[in-house]
Amino acid sequence: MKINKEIRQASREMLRASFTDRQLDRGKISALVESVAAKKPRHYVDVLQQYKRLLRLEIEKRHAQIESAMALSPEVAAKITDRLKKKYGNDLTTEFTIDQTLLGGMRVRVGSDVWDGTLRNRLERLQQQL
Amino acid sequence: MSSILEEIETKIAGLKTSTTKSNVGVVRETGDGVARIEGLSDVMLNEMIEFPNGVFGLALNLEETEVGAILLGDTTKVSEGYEAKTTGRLLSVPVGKALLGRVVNTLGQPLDGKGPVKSETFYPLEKIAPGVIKRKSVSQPVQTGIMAIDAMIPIGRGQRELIIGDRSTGKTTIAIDTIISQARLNKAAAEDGTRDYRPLYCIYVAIGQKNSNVARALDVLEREGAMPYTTIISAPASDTATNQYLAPFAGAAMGEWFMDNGMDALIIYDDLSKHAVAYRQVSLVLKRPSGREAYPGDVFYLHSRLLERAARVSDEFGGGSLTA
Repeated sequence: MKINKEIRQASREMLRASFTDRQLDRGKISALVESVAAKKPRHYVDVLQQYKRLLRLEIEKRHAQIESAMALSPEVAAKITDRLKKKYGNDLTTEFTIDQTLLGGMRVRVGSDVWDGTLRNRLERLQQQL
Repeated sequence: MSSILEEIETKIAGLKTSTTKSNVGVVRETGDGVARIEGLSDVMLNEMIEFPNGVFGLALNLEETEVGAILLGDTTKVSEGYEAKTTGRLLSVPVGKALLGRVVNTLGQPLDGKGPVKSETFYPLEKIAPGVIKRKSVSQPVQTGIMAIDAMIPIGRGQRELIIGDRSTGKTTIAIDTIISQARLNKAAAEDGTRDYRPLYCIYVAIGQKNSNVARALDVLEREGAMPYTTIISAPASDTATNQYLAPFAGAAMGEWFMDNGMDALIIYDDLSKHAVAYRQVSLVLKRPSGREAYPGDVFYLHSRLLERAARVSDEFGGGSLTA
């Protein structure tokens, strides 16, 4: 997709307009999309697509993926969620998944930050060092 | 055997407690030796990025949501959807006397089949040139061995000198002759045991040259016995534009090691117009705005900061020099 300056600016403005109190506002977002779709300005499809991309990145920043080799007990999960919320703000959503190939430990991903304490990662690093 | 076990043991102990924090992104687009990566919010300019399969990249364009990186090594091993990781390191090359007599590529890997380069020191490719305080005026000559030059336009150690001319008028020959002449002087001084003689080590950076030309230069240098004082960095025309673009910086880093350790070095970039062409290619693929003849706006800055690294540093800082 070729993005020109106009598209980039419009989508960025839309993103800026979709926050209330520094949190994404579902109502505002749908209203914005509706109005753009109704008005059909120049390059509106590209603008919407770019807006979707920016929104996706924004949502990813507020979403924690926690992968572990085994199912975590509710207490541990609550503790992790609590700690992450303290670091990234209260609107953080969490998602717990189980991945057997991690062997042990867990891996937390928020946006592009990754904390990797899995056994697989350690073994890989050991392999690189030797 | 037990020492190996102990070594592994300590490494495991080091790994035991650590949870590594890293910053990742996803490759969105790749081609022409360039990858565009989404994410990587904490990446620094010129930082090395690690891809799976042991391929590394260099972050050159930092944009709002994406990072443009040039790939080093096998570009076919990187494809869309791969996870890229920041490393927190700058690209560096091995430096030191182990490189003398060797032919290496941009990353300091040997090309001459004489086994691995035994060097333990690494220098970053990009370094700020020495400032005013660190420098000393140029006072010692570099004998090119060509009487016309040495008599009329002598070159000093720590100076930079442009060799300009039409094609096949003997620019490379002047450079090669200088290397040979210096090697002869170095050898003679070593045999006589002249005190206070500072040998001049030579680094020849071949950018975008034909492999046959590099081989011929190597052959001449070997025949004249100049190789023990010389390093050849070869980024031939068949090499990627990335490697051609980085080669002179790698050469400068190797030369700087001599300078920092109180030795003198001569570095020859052959040739910088091919380097500008390689940089133009990299820039255009990264979609940087272009100027006249499609060269990017910072091509002059690129060369000035490269050549500014040639210097004669004062005695307090080692008293070495790098002539370009």
